Amino acid sequence: MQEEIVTTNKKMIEFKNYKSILIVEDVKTLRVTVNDILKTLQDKPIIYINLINTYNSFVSNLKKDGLKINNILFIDCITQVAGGNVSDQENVLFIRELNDLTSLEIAITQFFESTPSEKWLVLYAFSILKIYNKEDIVLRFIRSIFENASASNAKIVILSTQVKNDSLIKKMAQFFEKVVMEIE
Amino acid sequence: MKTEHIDEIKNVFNDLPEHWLLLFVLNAEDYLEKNIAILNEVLKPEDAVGVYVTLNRPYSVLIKILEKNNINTDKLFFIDCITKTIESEKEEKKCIFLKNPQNLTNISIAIDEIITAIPSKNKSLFVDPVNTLLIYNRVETVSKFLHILTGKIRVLNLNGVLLSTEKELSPEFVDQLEQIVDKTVDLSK
Repeated sequence: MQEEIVTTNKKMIEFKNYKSILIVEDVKTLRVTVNDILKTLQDKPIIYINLINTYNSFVSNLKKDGLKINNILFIDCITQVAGGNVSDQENVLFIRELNDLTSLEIAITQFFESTPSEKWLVLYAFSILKIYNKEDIVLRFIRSIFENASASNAKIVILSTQVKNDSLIKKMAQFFEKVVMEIE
Repeated sequence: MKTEHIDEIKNVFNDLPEHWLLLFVLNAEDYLEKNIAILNEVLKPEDAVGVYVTLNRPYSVLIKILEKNNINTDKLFFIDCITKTIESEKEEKKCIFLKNPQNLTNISIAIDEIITAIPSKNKSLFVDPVNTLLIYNRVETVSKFLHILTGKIRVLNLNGVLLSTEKELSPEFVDQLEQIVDKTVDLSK
């Protein structure tokens, strides 16, 4: 347990030094890591794309952990798809379809352009994108995010689980300054 | 069933947030026993009501098994995706019969219909077992369906139990399944 905490802390100190980092872990560890990242970055502007949780459950979980969420623009990719209520709220954008990567890209670009200071994009859990999109489309989307981030001086953290011989992760890894792969 | 599995099932339900979404991986040998033990825990709270989506056992068979095992079936509503593949006309007060497990939209509509009609705040959805959907649909389609279904469970503040057998699942599908739930409990070993 102690060893796990040390590893996580070390990871949190290190990842801030990179412009782009890809973290590939098992599901359990990944859930802890993404929360640690949000905690570590809580004073920086973040666009947080979560492909699994709704904004409401995200807010209640993070508030429980005592995390500040004022600096986070949450991209909710679930609520609208699942037929939930999408009333206007300040820190959240609802995406209608997960195969509409253009809308996602526009939201990211707008965030990058409207935030002059150091800013971060955190994407969790990347592999869900593959349910809705072909591999080459996802790859093109990621490349485009990198181009936008580079133009706006934004930093990128992408978190994913990996199954054996995941060709997309292998192809995508080359874009990143740092790749942390903690499973085989 | 192994004693440690009974304890594990109980422990899982002792330590849950207000709303939860669980994946249980079971083996074929004692699938039914574990299924009943899980259902028993789901329905334990006084106000708990469940919607049971059955993909393998017809309602008429399932209800007898559950009653024999002292499950309070008054607290359950059913969506039967199997009976109509064999018999044509069927009507029961507490069960919606769907033509087959291929039409995932119909399953989703039936879930909506029942869930909105239940007044209790403690509602759970029970899918038995998710891997049967793969017999009738492409893996990408099932992944999408389950991603949206689990989203619905979260949006509507329901609880969810997805059952699966350990064999014949692609690693990618398992990975996606494990990500979209809050916790995976592997009782197959």
